[in-house]
Amino acid sequence: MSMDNTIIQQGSFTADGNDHYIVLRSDIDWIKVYNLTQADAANNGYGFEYYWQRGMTDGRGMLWYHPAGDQTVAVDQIAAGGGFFYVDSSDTDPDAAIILNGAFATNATQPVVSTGNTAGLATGSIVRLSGTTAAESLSGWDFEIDTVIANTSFRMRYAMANAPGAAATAGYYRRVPFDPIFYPRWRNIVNITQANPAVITTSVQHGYTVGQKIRISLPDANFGMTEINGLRATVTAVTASTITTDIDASAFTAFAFALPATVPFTMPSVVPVGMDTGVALSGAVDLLADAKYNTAYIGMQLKGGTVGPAGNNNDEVYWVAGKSFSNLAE
Amino acid sequence: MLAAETPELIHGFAAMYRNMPKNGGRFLRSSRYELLPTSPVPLGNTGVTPPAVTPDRVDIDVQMQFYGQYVILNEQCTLQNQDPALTAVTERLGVSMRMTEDELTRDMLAASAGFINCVGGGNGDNPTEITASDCAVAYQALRSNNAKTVATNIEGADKFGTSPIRNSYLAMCDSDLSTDIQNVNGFVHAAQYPQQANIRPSEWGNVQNLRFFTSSVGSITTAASAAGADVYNIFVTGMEAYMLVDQESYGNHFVYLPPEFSGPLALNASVGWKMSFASTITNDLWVLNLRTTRRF
Repeated sequence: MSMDNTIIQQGSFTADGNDHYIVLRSDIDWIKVYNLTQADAANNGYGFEYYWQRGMTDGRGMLWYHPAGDQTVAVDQIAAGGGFFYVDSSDTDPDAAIILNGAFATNATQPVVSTGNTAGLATGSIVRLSGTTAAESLSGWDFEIDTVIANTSFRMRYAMANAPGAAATAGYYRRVPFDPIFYPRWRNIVNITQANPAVITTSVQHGYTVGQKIRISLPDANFGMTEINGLRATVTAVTASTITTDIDASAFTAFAFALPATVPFTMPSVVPVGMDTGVALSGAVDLLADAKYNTAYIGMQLKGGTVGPAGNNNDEVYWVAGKSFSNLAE
Repeated sequence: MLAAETPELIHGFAAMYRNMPKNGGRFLRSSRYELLPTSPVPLGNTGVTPPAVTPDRVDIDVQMQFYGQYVILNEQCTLQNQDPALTAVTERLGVSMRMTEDELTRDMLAASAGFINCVGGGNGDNPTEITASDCAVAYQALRSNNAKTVATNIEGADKFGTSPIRNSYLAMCDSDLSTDIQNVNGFVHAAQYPQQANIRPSEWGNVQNLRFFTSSVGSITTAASAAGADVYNIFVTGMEAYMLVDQESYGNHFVYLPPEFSGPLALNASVGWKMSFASTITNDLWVLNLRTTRRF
């Protein structure tokens, strides 16, 4: 039972220059990371050892690095946001609201949102807009974004059927850090093609696979295509944000993204139903892909980079993590 | 010992409970053959056989997962504390397990139940606060999909201030909505039911064909409305709309290890729980999430 300073897990990975996630369900109190490649090299300013302990500021930690182009060593605190982040993905609360500025959100099928603060945003991040004056129909949706220009703007990644009718003149955005913990999940729809087969575009990546059965919910006539409301479909092809269905929508009313004056409304959505095993078998895909399961995890996010614990591309990185009794009277 | 702030656990009320057979793998598959079309046209006298219809089956899969929580108690704690720490902690662990089960069920419903926004209110948000028309829309959606009501009617009685209660679907939500629900036209408080037998403490009241159950750990999506307010998820469900599954020969475990198991000096005891759990919606047409914001 004694767990003082007990190493509970270890591992290694080859860095790709991006952030690296380590799942540690047993939870940890400390983690050490060794960048073997940089320990051996003599690269000026490159980190090779990192340490984080519970109680340290999230996103920071300690850093050992080469202060010159040789094997000398210096130690420092990792810069804010550049080190270790403790992750519990069952915590799905969004970040604080950040005000929009400048041109706010443009009236386009992929609105560009202006803000002086893009901290934590990257391509693939999910944001939720609120209080979008004059473009009210944009508020309350979760949108995946791309084209992040630091402290200037970002863009909605997946095109809506039409522009929302007006540019926003005020508003806020929040970063939504995680999905609901259970898969598969419902997703909001921003476009459905008036075609055979109908292709659905979701506002964020949907995660569905070929063979899954879905239901389309479109109870509000402000989005057009009311004929599709309640229909069940089988997924026949997917991209990250589109779902090709077995529905012929060519004779349906056109889909339309709702305009500002139509608020309040119910957003159209796609809802998971189950699996069409026959389609999954003929498509040679996992016939249990629809299985409901809990995706939540506990672990550490290691930031990449020259002085980040996840290192640079092709660095060989080793780590150990442990548990210890903590917060005893001192 | 004093009572703890134990919440009402409401999200399993309408669930089907199933057991996953031992040695049956990680996944449980349930299947449904969908209704076949009717055949209102006479066969005629040509002797030619009409075409067959194709049956349609949908498979619902769920993956079994395991959960646990434990506490370590130093031997000096159980030796010197005047209160029965081990007993108290054990009791709390039991509540922890049931709360986990409830939370997982709640989050499963929030992740995958189809939704309707309340739009009948006047608070200027999207969704709006809940109104009688929103309750009617929710009821009608389930009724039109042939969902069976969970609660049977309560006949009227010759008692002052009471009202008969219709066959109802269950509506499970956060207790923050109590005042908003109470202000919906036609609301009948649980205390006004003609019969008080078998009414749970969490039952708040009835609107039309919905009986509302509230809990301090109801489902809330933070800052998700058009105005940036919290959105409250009201799960309106009929019978057999979702199921909870446990593993045969596993279920819920209470685990106590006396200090002798802790090491050479037998310093620490541990007590904990483990459980198997899986949940899924079995018919998406029979449960929906009525999303609302607050007015009060």
